[in-house]
Amino acid sequence: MIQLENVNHHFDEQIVFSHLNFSLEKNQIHALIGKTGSGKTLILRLLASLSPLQAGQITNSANSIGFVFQQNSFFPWLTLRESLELTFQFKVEEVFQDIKKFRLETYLDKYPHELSGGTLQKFNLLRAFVGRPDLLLLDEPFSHLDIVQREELHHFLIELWSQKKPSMVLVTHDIDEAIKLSHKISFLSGNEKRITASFETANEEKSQLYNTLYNLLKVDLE
Amino acid sequence: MKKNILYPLVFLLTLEIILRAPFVDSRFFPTPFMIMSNTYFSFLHSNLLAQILSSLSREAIAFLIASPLAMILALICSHYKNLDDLISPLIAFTFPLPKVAVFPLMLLLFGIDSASKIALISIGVFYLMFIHFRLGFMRLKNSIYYDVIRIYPFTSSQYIWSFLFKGSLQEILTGFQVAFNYALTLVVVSEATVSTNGIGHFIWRSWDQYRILDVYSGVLVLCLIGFIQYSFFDLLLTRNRRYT
Repeated sequence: MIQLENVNHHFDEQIVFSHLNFSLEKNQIHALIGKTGSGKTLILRLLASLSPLQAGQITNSANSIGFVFQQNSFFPWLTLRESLELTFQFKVEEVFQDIKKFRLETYLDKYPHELSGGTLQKFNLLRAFVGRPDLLLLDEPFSHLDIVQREELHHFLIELWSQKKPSMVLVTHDIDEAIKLSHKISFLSGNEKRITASFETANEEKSQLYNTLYNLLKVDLE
Repeated sequence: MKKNILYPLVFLLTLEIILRAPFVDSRFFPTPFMIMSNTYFSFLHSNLLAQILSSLSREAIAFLIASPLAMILALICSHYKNLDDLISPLIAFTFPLPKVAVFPLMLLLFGIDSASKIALISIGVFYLMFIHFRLGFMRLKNSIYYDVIRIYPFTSSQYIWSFLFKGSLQEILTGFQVAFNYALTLVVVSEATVSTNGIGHFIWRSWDQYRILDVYSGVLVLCLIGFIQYSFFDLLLTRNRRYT
């Protein structure tokens, strides 16, 4: 469904990717793990055309994209209702139905800063799923949440994803989260500037996979 | 708002007590009460109100001319880098120039009537508004919210009104706030030199005729106008403050 071939990217003198290859299958959740600065977010930005492709090729057959950013991306100057009405004029009923289904309607007339991180991220996830996009890109969506909120949002995400099962790229630092949520995990090496290992989670023993990924991260950080 | 009124009142009361001391010459240093009484009297029996209105109308016209221009140019500069590279150095080059220095040119170009004064005020306030508006638009364009717009595209009118305008309302209001206060300086300076009306003219004519109390009244009126303008925008800023 999505393929990145021989993608090279640099910021001034600093090389981020060198001959990066990455592919995402239909209806799969693909987690990307790597140290800070390894270019995980950049992959999402390239897929969403938020950053220009410098070299290489991207094949993307997705018609619509949903994006969940690491921090709040609802406009601080609008209530959540106003933001959603503005963004989804013709699909707003669909959004409100989902909001009611998850019993979040009491928060609609609040401003983003009036909500807890967890509730706000639920709205960010809901927004990303509006219109049933073919491709979902999640940039460390749970990184700033505590363990209880994180657990709750994992269930919330899976419930949303299960409705239409869009292809999804999940960028995360959390190995447990990647193993729990994804079908495939790719390790992006900051030193090698490319993806150096990929694992099908169904084929691996969980604790063994955790140790392998942990060791890969440790070596990359050294 | 209560503090905004309370502190100046305490200041005026203190001044009243000090200036009532026997060693203070009230011809040069009248007490606030004397000034306020004289101002009230001037409102009723002199043409002070007409002078204020002509100054405020010049200020208003100048803003009607300058603010759309500042808004459009800031919009262009924040969205077209090539044009920004061309315009911003010109702004940086001319902004530090004291605007009063170009007043003779304004007189030459627009004559001694209101037009030259309005032109001077327009130029002065334009810079302050442009700088603030551009800053606001640039901040938004470099924020995560701009990425949201690119993922979920808006129509042009939604983009300008709901995103750019509402999103940079803090900078826009701050731009208006500082520009309105600077406008008062330019009003007084322009009316002091060649004018037959306006609050600046009132102050300078009073000084010419050695009516010191009227000079103080003129200054008091300016302070009040400045205070009202500043407080009005402060109130709007407080009401529209959002955590970004």
